[in-house]
Amino acid sequence: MKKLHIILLPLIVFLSVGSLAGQALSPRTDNYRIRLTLDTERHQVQARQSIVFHNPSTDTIWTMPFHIYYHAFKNNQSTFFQDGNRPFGLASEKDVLACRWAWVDILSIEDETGYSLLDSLFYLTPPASSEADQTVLEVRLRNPILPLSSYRLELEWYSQIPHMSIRTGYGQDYYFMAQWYPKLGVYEPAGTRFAEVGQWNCHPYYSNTEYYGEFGQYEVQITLPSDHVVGATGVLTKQTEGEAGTTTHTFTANDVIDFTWTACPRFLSVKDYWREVDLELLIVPEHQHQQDRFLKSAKHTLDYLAAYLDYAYPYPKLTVVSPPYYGLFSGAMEYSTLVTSPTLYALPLGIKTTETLVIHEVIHQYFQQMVATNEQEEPWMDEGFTAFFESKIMDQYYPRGVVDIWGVQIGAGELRRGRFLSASNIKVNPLSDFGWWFRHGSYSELVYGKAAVLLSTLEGLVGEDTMRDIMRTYFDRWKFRHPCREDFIVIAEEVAGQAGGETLQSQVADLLQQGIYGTDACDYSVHQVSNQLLPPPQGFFESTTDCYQELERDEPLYYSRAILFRNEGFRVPQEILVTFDDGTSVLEFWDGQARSHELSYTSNRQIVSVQLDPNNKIPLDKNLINNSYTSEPDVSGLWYYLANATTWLQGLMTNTTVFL
Amino acid sequence: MSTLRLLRDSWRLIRRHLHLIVRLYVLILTVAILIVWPAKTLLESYAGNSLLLSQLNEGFNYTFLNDFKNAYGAGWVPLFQQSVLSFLVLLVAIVFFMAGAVPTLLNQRTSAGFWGNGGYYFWRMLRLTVYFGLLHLGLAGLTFWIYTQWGDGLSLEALSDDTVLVYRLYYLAPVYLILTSWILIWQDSAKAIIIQTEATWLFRPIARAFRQLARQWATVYPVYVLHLLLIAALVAWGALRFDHWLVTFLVAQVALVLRMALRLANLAVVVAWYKKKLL
Repeated sequence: MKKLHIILLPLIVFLSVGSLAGQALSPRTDNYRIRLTLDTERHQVQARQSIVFHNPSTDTIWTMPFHIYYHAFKNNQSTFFQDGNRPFGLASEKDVLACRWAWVDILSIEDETGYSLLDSLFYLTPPASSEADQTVLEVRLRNPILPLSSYRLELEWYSQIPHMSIRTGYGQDYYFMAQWYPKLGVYEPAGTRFAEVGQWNCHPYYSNTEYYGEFGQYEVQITLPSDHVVGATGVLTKQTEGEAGTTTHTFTANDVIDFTWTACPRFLSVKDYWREVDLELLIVPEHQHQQDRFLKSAKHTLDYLAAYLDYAYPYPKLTVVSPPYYGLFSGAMEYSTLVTSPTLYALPLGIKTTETLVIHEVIHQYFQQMVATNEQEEPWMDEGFTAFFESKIMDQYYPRGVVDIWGVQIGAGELRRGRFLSASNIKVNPLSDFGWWFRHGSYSELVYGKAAVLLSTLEGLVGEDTMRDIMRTYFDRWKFRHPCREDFIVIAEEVAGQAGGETLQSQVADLLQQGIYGTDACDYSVHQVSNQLLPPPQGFFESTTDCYQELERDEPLYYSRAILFRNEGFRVPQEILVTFDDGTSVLEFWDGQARSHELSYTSNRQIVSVQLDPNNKIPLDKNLINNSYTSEPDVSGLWYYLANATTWLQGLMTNTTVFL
Repeated sequence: MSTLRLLRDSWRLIRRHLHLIVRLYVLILTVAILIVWPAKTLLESYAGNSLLLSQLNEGFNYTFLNDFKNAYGAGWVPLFQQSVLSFLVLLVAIVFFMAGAVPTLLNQRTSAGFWGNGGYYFWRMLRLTVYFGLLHLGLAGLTFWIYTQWGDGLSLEALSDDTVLVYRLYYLAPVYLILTSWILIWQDSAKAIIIQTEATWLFRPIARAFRQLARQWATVYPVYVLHLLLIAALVAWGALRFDHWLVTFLVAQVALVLRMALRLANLAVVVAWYKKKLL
């Protein structure tokens, strides 16, 4: 028996430790332990940080690059600043004169042998960035990181928190701490994404782009004044009262790519529970009357994605932060298990920005926080996917639209399409361009809008069921990993091939090739419809004695023709609904390749109307007005608009008479 | 003179001169159609045979409007410029109308007729409109300036929360509306005095109207404001939507006629008061 205990006890201990660590969802490559103290007087953070990196490759690694995102706000020569975005809040002369810039000072950095690497720190500035940029700090190691082994660094650092800068910083008593710590880049072994050889992926902070992080575990202890309500990535595991009116909050998070936290004495914490997830809404008192809008939309999103992707939200906690008015700089953003969604006191119910933003950011938990694409190199892969699902969820749960006020109703999907097509130049960049190459406008219209509309068009092409299979397969294979666009394309073609054979597979390949790598616009139109009355046969046929002289047939016979055009470069297969004057209709198909196409009929029927894409499967088409033609237009709609316009003008003029 | 009697007398004046409402309605409807008709032609030429046109019956159609703007928007530019010009012409025409309406209500220069009076007093009414227009702009600007400067202004750095942006309106909006309506009565009173006294220099009648209004405002003000409130209520009523576009249009037209009648009734209020108290 004693021998059995000796054998079993270590096993029991090992299993217990394993269960405490939790079953890993991700490789847990970058693991952080941070102890920090927030100085609310000077708006500074003092921290000790330990990072354990598990080398996922068979490469020997000699460097470790860190993102120092705060240095985007260190001076006006940073890449972020020079790119064209003036850091929000630093536009005022007051800030410049008060020298309210941000920085991170590394006080000490030691490897696992205790060797100081302070003299081995170098800022990297790739060609596309400003020479003075300091947002990428490379540590050159004395001892390399061996293949598949772990490596630990211990850092001590000090930071000055930016004042009301884009997405991060402080405003009055509100702190939103995003990208606030030295964050290791992502090591991509050969074959990951575009890496032909193993490489670090750690770009400077460009104004257009967001972030790219590696999965890992976080344990973060935050010490700050006790009156501050704190929210963070992960779950609160410990809270202890400290000296001089401080409290230490310990948060842990597993299988996340980032750690973000927020604090404000004015926060109210509204707790809820949904699908085995603790929901917490941090909101200021003057916005609390809107709490149901936040919680409902978060729940709708969790429900929808669990069903659609067949994968329930896997984390135990989701925190939604609604910042105060002076915290609007923190924007609407997604972080691991924590999202921000601003609102205003007087926001009407008919303007659904609260719901739209919450839904959008919670979707990001799946696309970017779990399927961790590189937002800097391929922003469309998270924003486009998220915008695609945002429209679907909004249209399902809020069918009256994003805007529903004073007789104006605009649906989420149509608004997304409309904003894309209203970009100053929808052809300025292909989606395949790196985010920082979008230098001449239309970034959000393309990365969000074009990508979402492209996915909607893909859904129209393959059908809703196959599209769901594509998305499920993509999510299932790439969750907690780092895919690139080719990984999605391969899966889309594979699933489409299984569902619809080679024809559908090649159509999907063609669509995605054009939509991701090309810049052509899509526009098909009905150019012309004609019905010509055919005369009976006249003249000599079999002989030269029998002459056919009838001028009219007993029953009319028509030669009916419809000509369709492809006006732009994008090619996509088309369905065409042709309706005749006897009430019958026929659905025709066109591969959409040629510049023009003809449909012709010889019958006793005349064409009354021709409609391209009658089921609205191709939202990518930039002009739906010319997609149809009818010889019997229903002008009641035109009169409706004109009557409204007349009345509106009369009202305006009548109001003016009060002042005349 | 009591407020109720003033109300009664003003509507009696209007009943005697119903043609003023008809003239004003026809004038505004004509200009509105002149602006809208070319837009109809443009819409028909580009989208007249599109099946999407039938969807306009369902109400506001963002997709149609956005696609039309993107594809055919260049055609709107000259149309818009023409509309702005038409609107400016209308403003001048309404000043002309008021120049004819006031003497009609005052029963003055009846031999000249409505349009004759309009031409005779036009430039004085136009100058008066410009002076009071500047006053309205000044008041609006001052109100806006106070709103933006009050307390911590609009500064994200300094404001404690966004409720203050709404609560400021609770104080400023009533004050602004009271002052604006006061200026409107003053303006209409000045019209009556200018026409009755045949003044060519306007500042003396303006000052006189101010003094007399300051003494007698308790009688005139409630009636005038009542009419303004009814106009606001009719704006909301006229915005109702019905199943058929024609019903919606007709209900809106009735609301518009009533609004014009109330505007003229306000003119009649100051004329009736002026006639009783000052002549």
